[in-house]
Order: sequence, then C-alpha cells, then structure tokens
Amino acid sequence: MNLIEDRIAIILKLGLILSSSLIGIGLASLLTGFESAWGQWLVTAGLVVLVATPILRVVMALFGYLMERDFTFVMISLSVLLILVVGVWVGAPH
Amino acid sequence: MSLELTTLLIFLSSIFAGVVGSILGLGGGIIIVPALTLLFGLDITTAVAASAVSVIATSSGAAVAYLKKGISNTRIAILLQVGTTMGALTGALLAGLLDPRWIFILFGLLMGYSAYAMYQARRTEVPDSVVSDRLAQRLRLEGVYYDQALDRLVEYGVTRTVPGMALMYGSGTVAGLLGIGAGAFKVLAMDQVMGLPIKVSTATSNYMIGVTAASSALIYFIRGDIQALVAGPTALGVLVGAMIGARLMVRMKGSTIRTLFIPVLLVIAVQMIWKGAMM
Repeated sequence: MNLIEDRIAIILKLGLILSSSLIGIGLASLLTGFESAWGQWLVTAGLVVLVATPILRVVMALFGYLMERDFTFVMISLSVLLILVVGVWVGAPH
Repeated sequence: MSLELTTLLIFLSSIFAGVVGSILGLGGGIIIVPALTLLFGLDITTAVAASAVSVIATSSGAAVAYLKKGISNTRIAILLQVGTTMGALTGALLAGLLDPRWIFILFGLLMGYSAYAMYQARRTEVPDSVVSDRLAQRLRLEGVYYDQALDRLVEYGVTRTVPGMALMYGSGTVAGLLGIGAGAFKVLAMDQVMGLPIKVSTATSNYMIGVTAASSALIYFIRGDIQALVAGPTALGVLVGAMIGARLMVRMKGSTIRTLFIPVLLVIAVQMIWKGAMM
C-alpha cells in the first residue's frame, strides 16, 4: 500500500472513532432524557467531525502530493478544495 | 411510535442503506430519503439533510477498508472530483434559472441505457487489456490491486480520461439540480467510459461521493436542517453498514456487483424520468 493512502486511512479511522463515540454518547443522553441539551450538542459535534472527514482526506492527499513533489496533483487537490469553499459560500443563506 | 423505537428503526434501516451504498459506490440516498419520509413520516428537508450526512458516512465508513486493500484509486478520485464539484456548483447556480425537465429526462434515458449496457456486460469480471490514453499515462492514473474473489493481482489501464471528466461534470450538474444519481453516474463513467474494473469503479466512486456531499452537508448545517435525532442514528447506522458492506465487497466477484447494479440503475432511471415528466 502507498504511503499517502496509508496515512489517509489512519486519520480517517481516528475521525470515525471520534465521531461515532460523540454521536453514540449524545444519542444515549438524548434518549434517556438525561442532559438533553448536552446530548444535542454531542450529536451535532459528532456529525460535524463526520462531515469534516472527506475534506480532511483531500487536505491529507494534498500534503502527500506536496511531499512527493507531484505539483500537478497539488494543483488538482487545491482546485477541488477551492471549488468546495465556493460551493458552500454560494449555497449558504446570506 | 416511541422515540426510542423510532431511533432504533432509523438506525437499523440505515445499516441496510450503508451496506448497499458501500458495495455499489452510491450514497444510499435512494434508500434513506424514501425510508425517512415514507416510513417515519419526516419532512423532505430533514430527510435530504440526513441523507447528505449519510452519504459522507457511507463514503468514509467504507473508505478505510478500500484504501487498505488498495481498491480505490485516489489519483483518479481527486482528478474526477474537479469535474463533479464544478458540476455540483453549476447545478446549484442553475437551479431555479433553468427548466431542468429535459435534462432529467435525457439523463434518465442515459441511465436506462446504461442499465442495458451493464446487463450486456454482466459477466465481465475485469475488462481485458485496456490501453491507457496519453493523459492517463502522464497523470499516472493506472493501478493494480489484489482481487480476493479472483485470487490474483489485477493491473488496469485508464482510457478516455477527458470524456470521463466531461461526464463527471454533467452528472455533477444533474446531481446538483436533482439531488439523486451522483454516485451511479460516477460508477458508470469509470466503468463504461474509462474502462476501469467494476470494483475499482465502485470503490473510487465511494471515495469521491463524500467530498461532494461534505459541502452540501455544511450548507444544511448552516441552514439548521440537520436534526440530531434523525441525522445521528442515520449516520451511526450507515457507518456500521458501510463497514460491513466494504468487507463483503472485497470478497465479491465483479460480475455479482454488476448484477446487483442493474436494478438500482433502473430505479434511478425511472425516478429521473418520472420527476422530469411531472414538472
């Protein structure tokens, strides 16, 4: 397995463990009615971490290509990130 | 239905969506949205927002296994991602400006035709001797992976890179307008246009769908459409399902995945044509 893929897989796994623990604990406290506001907050935090994982993959790949001095793919990764930012900006309510 | 039971049922049906989505490289939106609206009576805004989160869960949940097995091709993924993200942006900008009826019908027909092409190629395990085009060679897109079902290394070339990217842009636009079919078109572009093995196509599509969905999920967060008690159990269930699905997929034969794909393509084709015709 390639070094870049290896690193992305590790980071991804950590992100998923963090996200699912937050969502799991949050849901448990929401359903038991114990600390509902806190539960809501935990689930939301877990979902935010989950949503961040794909973006993190692109960023990790970007650094990987940078280390390999593969500048064509550095530019490609950068443009994907840029288009994503523009997409959120366009889609978000103003 | 009690809150606990509803949460449990959402969790369980999401496991199923995660398994199907991760094997076929789709987001599972075609399962999640109808399940949440029809079975649980949730409104479409909440369901679509939860579905965006579930696409990310499918993508990231399965990606760990596919990366470790070397089945997903990250270089192809990031390159084609330029097309899909630009397409999604175009779709978002065009929404409301353009009468999308004919685009839906056209892409629905294209999807229907692809189901037929997939049926014809249903016995293909790995396409033979695809010669890489110049761009694919220059960008080093070719790859190799160990196929557990065939018990051998599969080396593959990549052809028609530019038409593949163009189709990604088109499908990204349609997905941005209609909200369905993004994953299916990615798999089709890689399988039927670029000549990749079906397992590489679905794993790479799976890798890509999360990135596009991340920006829509962020928008739903900002709008406040993401509800913890819906998106939470959906995300957890889909994550579990995607991990199971990825483990099943690496052992599956390419021909099995193709056969599973055909009815899904038909359903999406009918959905698209239906939506277009109803406008």
